[in-house]
Amino acid sequence: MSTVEPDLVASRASETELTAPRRSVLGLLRPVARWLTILLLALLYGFPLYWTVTMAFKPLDEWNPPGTIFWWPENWTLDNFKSILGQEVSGGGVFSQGKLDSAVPYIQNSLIAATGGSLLALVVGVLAAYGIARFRAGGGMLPFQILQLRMFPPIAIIIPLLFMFVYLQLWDTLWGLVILYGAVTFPFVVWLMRSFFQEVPREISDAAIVDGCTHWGAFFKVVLPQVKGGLAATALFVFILNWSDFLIALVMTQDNARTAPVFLSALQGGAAGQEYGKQAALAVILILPPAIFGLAIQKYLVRGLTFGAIKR
Amino acid sequence: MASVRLENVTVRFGAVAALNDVSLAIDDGEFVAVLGPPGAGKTTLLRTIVGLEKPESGAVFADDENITEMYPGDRDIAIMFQNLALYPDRNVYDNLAFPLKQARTPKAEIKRRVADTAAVLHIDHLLKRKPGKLSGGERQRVALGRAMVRNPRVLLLDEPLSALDALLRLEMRVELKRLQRDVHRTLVYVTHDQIEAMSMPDRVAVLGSGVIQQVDTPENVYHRPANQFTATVVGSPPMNFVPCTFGTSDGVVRVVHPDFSVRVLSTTSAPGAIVDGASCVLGVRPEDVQIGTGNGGAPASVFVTEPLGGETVVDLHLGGLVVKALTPPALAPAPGSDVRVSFDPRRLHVFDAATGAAVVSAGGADGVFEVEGPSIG
Amino acid sequence: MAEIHLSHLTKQFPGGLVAVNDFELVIPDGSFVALLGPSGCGKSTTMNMISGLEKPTSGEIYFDKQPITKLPPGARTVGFVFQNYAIFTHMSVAENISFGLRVSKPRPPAAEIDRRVGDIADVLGLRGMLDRNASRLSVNDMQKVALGRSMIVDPAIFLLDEPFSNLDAAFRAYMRAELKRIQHEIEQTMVYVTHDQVEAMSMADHIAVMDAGRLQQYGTPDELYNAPANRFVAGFVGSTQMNFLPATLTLGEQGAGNGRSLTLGIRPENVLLVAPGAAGATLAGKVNLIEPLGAKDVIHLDVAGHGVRVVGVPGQRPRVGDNVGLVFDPDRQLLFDDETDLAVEA
Repeated sequence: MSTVEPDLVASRASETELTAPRRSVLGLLRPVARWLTILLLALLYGFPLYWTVTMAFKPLDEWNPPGTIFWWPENWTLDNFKSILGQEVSGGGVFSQGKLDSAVPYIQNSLIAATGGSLLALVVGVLAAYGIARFRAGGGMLPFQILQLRMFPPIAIIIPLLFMFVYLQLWDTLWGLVILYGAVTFPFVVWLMRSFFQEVPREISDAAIVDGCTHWGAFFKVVLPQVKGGLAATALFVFILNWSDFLIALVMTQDNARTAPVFLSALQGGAAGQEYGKQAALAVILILPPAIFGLAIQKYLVRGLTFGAIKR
Repeated sequence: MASVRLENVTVRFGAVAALNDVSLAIDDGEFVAVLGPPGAGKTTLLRTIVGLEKPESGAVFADDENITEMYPGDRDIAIMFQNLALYPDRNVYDNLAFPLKQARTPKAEIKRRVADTAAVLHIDHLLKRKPGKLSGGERQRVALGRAMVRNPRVLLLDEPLSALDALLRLEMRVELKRLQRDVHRTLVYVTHDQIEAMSMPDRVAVLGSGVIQQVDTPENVYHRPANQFTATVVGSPPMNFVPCTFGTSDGVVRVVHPDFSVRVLSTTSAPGAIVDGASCVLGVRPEDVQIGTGNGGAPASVFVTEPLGGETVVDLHLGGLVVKALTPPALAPAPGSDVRVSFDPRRLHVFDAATGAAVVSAGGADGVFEVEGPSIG
Repeated sequence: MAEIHLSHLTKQFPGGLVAVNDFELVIPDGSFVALLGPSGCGKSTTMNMISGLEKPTSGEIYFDKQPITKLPPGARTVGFVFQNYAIFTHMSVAENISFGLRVSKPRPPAAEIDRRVGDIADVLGLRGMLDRNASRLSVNDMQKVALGRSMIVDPAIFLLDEPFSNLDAAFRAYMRAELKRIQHEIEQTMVYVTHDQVEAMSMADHIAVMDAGRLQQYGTPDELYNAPANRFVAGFVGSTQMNFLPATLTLGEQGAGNGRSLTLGIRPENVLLVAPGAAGATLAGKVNLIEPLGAKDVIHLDVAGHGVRVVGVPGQRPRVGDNVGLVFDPDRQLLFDDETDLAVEA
């Protein structure tokens, strides 16, 4: 062994010299290529957002005039917002009268359906996840069985669901949407919360039980506070999913329960014409609820809540 | 304070019996340590006593009351978990007060009891802090306080000192012993550290693979182990085991090894336990192995020495086996040297090779064994 | 084999914590050195810097006089043995051990790999288990496999981070002697991190004692035990902790020699208990508590308000409450300056 040693050390040293950055063309290209890729991706993702937000504040004549592109609104206006929210606006649109359908009732529907559906998924999902994580409810396969529910793309089962809902008189009702949104996001809640519950050491709920709590008491007083961060993240995730749903709402609603995303798509064609500015304004408004929700629960999206409870 | 009794308790996880027909009786106010290697079933034993595990068969009694079916919160038994399980989002005061709040104790009473417990454990200046801001030793004491604040009739501690560093552990050992003496509570203490198990309790219960091996005072467990397993569990470095055979001729019983022999002078073992030609195992602790350079004793060679400061561990090759001996540092032979070894006859043990059960044990007395051959020079 | 030189090594974490402070150490080629200290002393951080997992804030590290501070971990030819062995449970023992060789470039021929695996298996005592699946091993054997895996790639040095803390006490005692023997046989530099002074003392040729990021003393086990450089080392090393008393108790006025306040340190085994007032008894005390540890008793005494521990003579156990006299072995008394904590010449 000892005779081989010096050679091995020497050869390894020279290997490392080769891989260290050298003053060669190849060496310089690498960071440049990296930065180019980053820039490209940033543009790809950032541009639509930038375009939409600026469009929302552009007056009619800047939307899509032939020959020029307005990269930045010259005459900032709130008319698009006003119009989409139901106010009369002078000057009107090119293809419609000054007044559009107000988007307000559709935004309301979206809020109710998304919030209700998310709450339903969270309540049922969190309890299920705790049962699975702590008590191995349903045997080892239950988590997978639940996830399988989600492996069907909704579009594959939307027609049978439509028939079911019509039969149950849930079609085009907010209740129907709430139930459907709840059912469709329930597997996500179970999967996410299960892993958060698994991180809570068993002994903490044992300690609570020995200290006199019932299982429910231990759950609410001791375990749930431990997963505040995970719960917040899951709630936000599920809300965003439900809020931005298009397919289910498209099929399952018409005049009564139509949600904002469906309304937004209706703005794109037909009678309303290409009202870019108003579409952009609605899009900007629709970003707000998830963003506000996220900001509100920001302090819970914090790791390290169990620090100090368990010694390693 | 209460007595605790387990009768033929078996606890199974799947096919494995974590506790196998375990019976143990602990007196009112006694301090008992449960000692065993990891996986022996010690934690399961505690969890069964407190009610977090249900036995498949057998019964658990507290003060002669059958509590096997009782809900953990109603048993008036408190447990301090190995990983503490403090409530991380509550401060120390709330952690200590939690069990009292569950029992709907009036607020003033809660305040008083928390203050008393905190004072005894020297954590009264930490009441407003959360577990995340405490040191390891402080967290131990909070976990202990949470168990004590209820004044339970039995206190169970699961390896409470195992994660502390050596210095803190030394301090806490003395603290705990003093505490138990002053507070005089029935205490069941689980550990794999044999120093803790020797220095603190009234009795030690040695547990191995879910079966109770021996329940006795620390002295007896050390000097009169009932079997090989128990002999290994206490004592550091662990006891040496040398395979030998029994030899009976002319009514004289000997334990025979190619390099030495030991004569058995008196024995209280059952007839038939000693059969001529049967294999047996000679057990001798490192501190009872004597090293010399003269002509007496068995030949051995030193392959490594481990200086511990106050004494040195000498690792020897004796007839193809590794045998450890303890010597004062000044007398330790150099690695590679050839020496002769002999054994203190008052401290020998002979075990049955098949079952591991102790056949003859000197237990510190003269007149049980005689090591044959000239004595070490 | 390589000599390791740590030169003025400092590591400061963002937030201000100085984990390692101006650490200077030379580890001779082929020696077994332990980094010993309580948790938080900086020993693991130091080892991480040697391996390359952490970058020092300042200072240099040399292997055989070559500066390697800028090299990434993969290029430093360092063999790791961790606490939780990290072996591959779907492979056999032989496959686990040979893993490093099989993925190296260029890959040695199969016969060579088998030979090296065989050599290592012999050294470690794993001969009969080479074909067994790694998941079916005992915890103790798994640790040996982990050791073998790091040995096979012939690293310049071995770094071991408390590898035996998950093993049961009996096996730990066995592995200590084994590891010491293995290290002498393969003659590789080994750096062993531990908070257990028994481990450090029994295995290492030299021990570097650390506290709060600083080197306290670097010496042989014997030096650390009998000639500690400061109070921390004196109190940390040794299974029965040293007793510290104000020197004025035994030395009277001399205790405050030259205006300095001194502390006397003496180990429990160097104190003898005699009848109170007997000749040579420097101090008197009262027995508080007795800890029977099997091979010896540790007797806790109250001496003028201070706690003193004494190792008892077998067969002569006093009773709690007895008044006794204490005789201190004059050759074994150490003095420490109260202000600097440094050992002082008597």
